Amino acid sequence: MPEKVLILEIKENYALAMGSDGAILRIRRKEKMAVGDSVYILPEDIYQESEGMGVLPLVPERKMTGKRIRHLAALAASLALILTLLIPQFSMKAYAVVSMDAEHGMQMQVDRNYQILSAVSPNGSVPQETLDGLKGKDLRKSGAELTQILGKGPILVGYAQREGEKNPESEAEIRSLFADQELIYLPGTSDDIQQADASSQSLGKYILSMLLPEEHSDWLQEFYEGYYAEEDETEEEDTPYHEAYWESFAKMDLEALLAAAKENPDYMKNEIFREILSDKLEDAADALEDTLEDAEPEDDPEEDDLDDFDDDDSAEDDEEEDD
Amino acid sequence: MQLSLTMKPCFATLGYKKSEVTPMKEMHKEEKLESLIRQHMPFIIRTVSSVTGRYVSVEDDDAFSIALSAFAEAVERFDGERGNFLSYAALVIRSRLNTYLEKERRYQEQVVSLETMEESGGAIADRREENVELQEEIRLYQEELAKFGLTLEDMAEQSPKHRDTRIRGVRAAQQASENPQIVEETYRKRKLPIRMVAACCGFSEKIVKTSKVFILGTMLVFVKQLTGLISWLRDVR
Repeated sequence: MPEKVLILEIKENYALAMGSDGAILRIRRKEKMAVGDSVYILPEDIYQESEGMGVLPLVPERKMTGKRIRHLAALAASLALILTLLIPQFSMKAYAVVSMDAEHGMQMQVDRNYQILSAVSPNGSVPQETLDGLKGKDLRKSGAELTQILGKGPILVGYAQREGEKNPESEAEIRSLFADQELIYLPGTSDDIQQADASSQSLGKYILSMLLPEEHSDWLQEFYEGYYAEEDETEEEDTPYHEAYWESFAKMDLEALLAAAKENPDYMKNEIFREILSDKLEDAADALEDTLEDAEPEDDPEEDDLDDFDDDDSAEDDEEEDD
Repeated sequence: MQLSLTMKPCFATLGYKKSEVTPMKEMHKEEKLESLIRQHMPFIIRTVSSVTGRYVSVEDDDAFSIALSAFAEAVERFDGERGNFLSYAALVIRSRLNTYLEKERRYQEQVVSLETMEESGGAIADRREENVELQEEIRLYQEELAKFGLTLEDMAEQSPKHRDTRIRGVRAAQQASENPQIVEETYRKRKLPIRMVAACCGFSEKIVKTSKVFILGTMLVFVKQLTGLISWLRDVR
């Protein structure tokens, strides 16, 4: 059915409009549009970003003469030569972003072959010369160097691809770099890369902040940042608790676990507790990713069966129905 | 009702024989015509838009009114033996619209006297004034979003994908806007106080966090009392 929208802003190729349910949509630009107009749109009026890209005009058909064939053959040979020279450059395209936060933090762009294209330190803890030295290196062979740069403590890794299907091997590849160290691997999406950039955080810290309820995010980040500053204090102490006590935390959900840790900051000094917390965080990241993947193909404005709000709060539904 | 090649003309299109038409059946005929129009609204709008090259306005749109009349005329005059109803209806609509557009073009070309403009221009002037007010509101809205580092593009990127989610987001935004503490905290921190909004609206923090940009952006409409935009969201509320 047609939808009513209110035109808010007109761009070169499209316009931004507000739907009657508050959604801001990009719609195709048509004649005589003005800001403030309310119009009917149909599904085909939704602007797809690919529409903004130029299209090469088709060349009219021409008779193929011997001379023309020779010209085309020469052109094809030149193109083949150019492509041969350019192909290695194509793999230089940024394929994924990997952030690593420990005592020091850094974020890298890598290509499909894990070659490091660029490296930055969002919190400025790694000198620029060190970052520049990483460029062109194979991430998979740089474990020792990265360990040295990152310093002590558990490593928070954020990983997201800019495009393409999810690479199932990326987690194993990155874990193998730090086989002997504690590591939290948080996968994200291309949107997370943009959001992390916008909030001037590393990708991993951004995903972590999204996973944690607001009341826990600040102190946990502070913990990760303070962990290294209090080197002596963070050494594991002999606690009166038995191993089974720590393992019992595995039964708790993430929120309860965080609440327990907040209540008793010393818990974070226990390796088993930290491992359980890391596992729960990674599970939460995976679940979030799955939810996003499941939700994406359902992007039909007329399909209301999937509801983000229904994910985990069935009680809210009841309230709404009562309304 | 599915329109097909086998459809009978005029009254038969609506399920009546001409001899059976009585005032009561006339009423039913009108209801059926309305239902037929509702059912084929996307088709009518699409046809108007393809002829005029512009969107059909929600407010009074002459071309759309002409298309509706032409559709009704097509229903009345359709002869099943001539082919598909929709092809026939499209032909009638296009023909009537082209006639209208031609008249409009000629009218535009004529030198219109000041008196004529004054006589016919009252309603148009009112509508333009209303549009100017709305345009001003939209400009204010963009300025308000900018205070939070947001643009309409950001809102487009981060609008929830599902309608139900958006509807609840708008309700959450309205409820939050009515809470002075939340409003104060939002402007103080220049971001949505997720925990406070979740508590106020009875949603989990995760849910509010997922739609935080949408809720914040929509909340600003209510906080700044942008009446034109609020009235646009009336159906949702």
